[in-house]
Amino acid sequence: MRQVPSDIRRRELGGSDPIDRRLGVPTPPSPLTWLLSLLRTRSALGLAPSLTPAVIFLPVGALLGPHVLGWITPRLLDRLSLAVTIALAVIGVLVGTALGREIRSAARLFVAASIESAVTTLVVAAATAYFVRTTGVPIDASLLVFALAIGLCASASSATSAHPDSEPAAAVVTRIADLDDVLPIAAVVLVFALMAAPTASVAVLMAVAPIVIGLAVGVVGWLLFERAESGPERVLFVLSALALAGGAAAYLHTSPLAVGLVAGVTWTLVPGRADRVVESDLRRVQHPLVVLLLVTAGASASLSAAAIWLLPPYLLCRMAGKVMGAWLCAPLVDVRPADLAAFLMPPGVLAVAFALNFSQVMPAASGQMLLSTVAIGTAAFELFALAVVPHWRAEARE
Amino acid sequence: MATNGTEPRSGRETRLLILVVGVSIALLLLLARIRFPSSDLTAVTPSAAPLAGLAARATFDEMANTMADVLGRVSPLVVVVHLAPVPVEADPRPSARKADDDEPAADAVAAAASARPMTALAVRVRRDMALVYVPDGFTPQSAPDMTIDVAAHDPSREMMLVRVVATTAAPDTLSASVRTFPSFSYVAAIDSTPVGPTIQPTFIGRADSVIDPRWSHPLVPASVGPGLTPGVWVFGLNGRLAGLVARTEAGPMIVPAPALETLVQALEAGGTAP
Repeated sequence: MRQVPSDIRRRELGGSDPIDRRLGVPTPPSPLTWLLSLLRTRSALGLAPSLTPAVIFLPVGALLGPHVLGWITPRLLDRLSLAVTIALAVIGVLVGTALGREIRSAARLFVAASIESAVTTLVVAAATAYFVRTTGVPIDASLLVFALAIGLCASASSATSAHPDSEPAAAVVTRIADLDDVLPIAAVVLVFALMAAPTASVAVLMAVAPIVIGLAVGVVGWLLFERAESGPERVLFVLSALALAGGAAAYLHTSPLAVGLVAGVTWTLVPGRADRVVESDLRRVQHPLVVLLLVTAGASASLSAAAIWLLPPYLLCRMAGKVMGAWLCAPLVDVRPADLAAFLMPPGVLAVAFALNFSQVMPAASGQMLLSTVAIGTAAFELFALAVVPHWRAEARE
Repeated sequence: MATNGTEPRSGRETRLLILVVGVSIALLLLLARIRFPSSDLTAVTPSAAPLAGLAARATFDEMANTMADVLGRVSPLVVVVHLAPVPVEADPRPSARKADDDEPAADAVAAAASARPMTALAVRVRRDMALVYVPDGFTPQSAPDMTIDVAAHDPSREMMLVRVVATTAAPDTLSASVRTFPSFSYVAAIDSTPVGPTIQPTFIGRADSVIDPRWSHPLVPASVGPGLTPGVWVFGLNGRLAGLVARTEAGPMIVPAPALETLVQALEAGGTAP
């Protein structure tokens, strides 16, 4: 298997950055340093860093949100929806550029990642549909759509526990975590079409729209980026292209994740340096947007009875789905299923991004139920990865 | 096959899989036996599509900003004039009443006599002159901070030219006014309150001009837009004067700016004819 240099190993959040450096290896000795060092002792097992943005900013958002301090008001949340849409497009671009770079050399990894995400999606969707129908949880959306949506949210993995340079298995898992978001994003397009389309022709249009928009944005960016006469002008082009991607997707009620994915793939596959330009310029806005997504999700989440009701099956079945998916795809990538499942356990920002995306178009009550369940579940899985996975890995090594 | 030194699917892995899946299914079945306690959905304010909501707000926000901008530009040109009812002298002779054709004016005077003080908006037409619509039965009243000096009065049109505190620059209210009254567009209707001018956006629809021999230019019925009552000034969204609503025999009419300009010139010349 071809070794990918660590600088282009992207994950959905990109490479090293100020926040990573701050959370990762602080140099001055202090109590915080001691705490972070303690958290990073897992790196000896190939698990680092564990204190992920989701663990920090989801609770921060919940604290600042309308249900606790009220600093983030419902009106502000409504106004943030456009920024959230653009942030989703940015994440789609990051996934798309990762796919564009890996697809030629790592088709096998892509197949394995797709199997893993598909299994997780189906397991969680089936369990949710059964649970909702059996227990009578009231939802104001189609049961099929709701179950698929929560399944797709569950399929996301970030492998934030895996340090890509620690061991070969971690390196492979990191790339799988990059690629396992592609199939769910494609499935999101179909779910959106299912939700919005009254007729078959409109459904087809809704399914094709993200591809067309993404290609258009990709071509526009390709024509513009390298012709910029200065750095600020280039940044303006990049941000404008992303705003166009997010805005067009929102206007047509399609998924900005899918639009960004297509645009990202386009920029990677076309001749030139468009993908490098985007990668370079996105570093400036990437983490603020991630923080925005997480804080918004945390503020939007509410501890409603229905959301808490759905949480246990979500947690249980996501774990079962990840283990099953890892067991099925492990032979394709030469990694032990337990290691694969352990590394893929943290959902990361993508799960929250999926949930935010669905909550924008689903009926309000179901959308908030979904977002709340996924946000709480994401924080829970991140903490699970922090507390349990290191021991799991340690036992596996013995 | 296993490059990482381990067998990808050892017995331990399979046992782990069976354990996790088995426990998950068992717990799911167990939890599914409990009925969800409430059958009602939590009330959530429906959220519109991201851009749809934004666009709707943006439209109204833009209108509000435009109105604020117009009011900011017009405010230096207007003066709030306090009007007081004219005292009516009692006349015991029935024959002293006016003829039948003057009955509406007489009614207006009588109504004004019983009305409370009100305000009107005067628009500066010269450096120290302002034009104001004064209904029959009312007269301008000086205030502690402003002395009103009537320069000319046209009772038939209920218009008055008053002297106000001079400004440093000559206003171009009339010279830069809208020459053709707009249709199918928004205008700003500016009225007075005791504390200053206020503004409302008004959409002007289709309207035919009406010839009134008392005015030099055709008038536009005030029914073309809501809230256009006598005394309300009409400005374009660019801040240019478009007209004034005045009472006529045919009902409230918008007197276009060119007609007002002609009237001001006539009043300044000492006459009253257009």
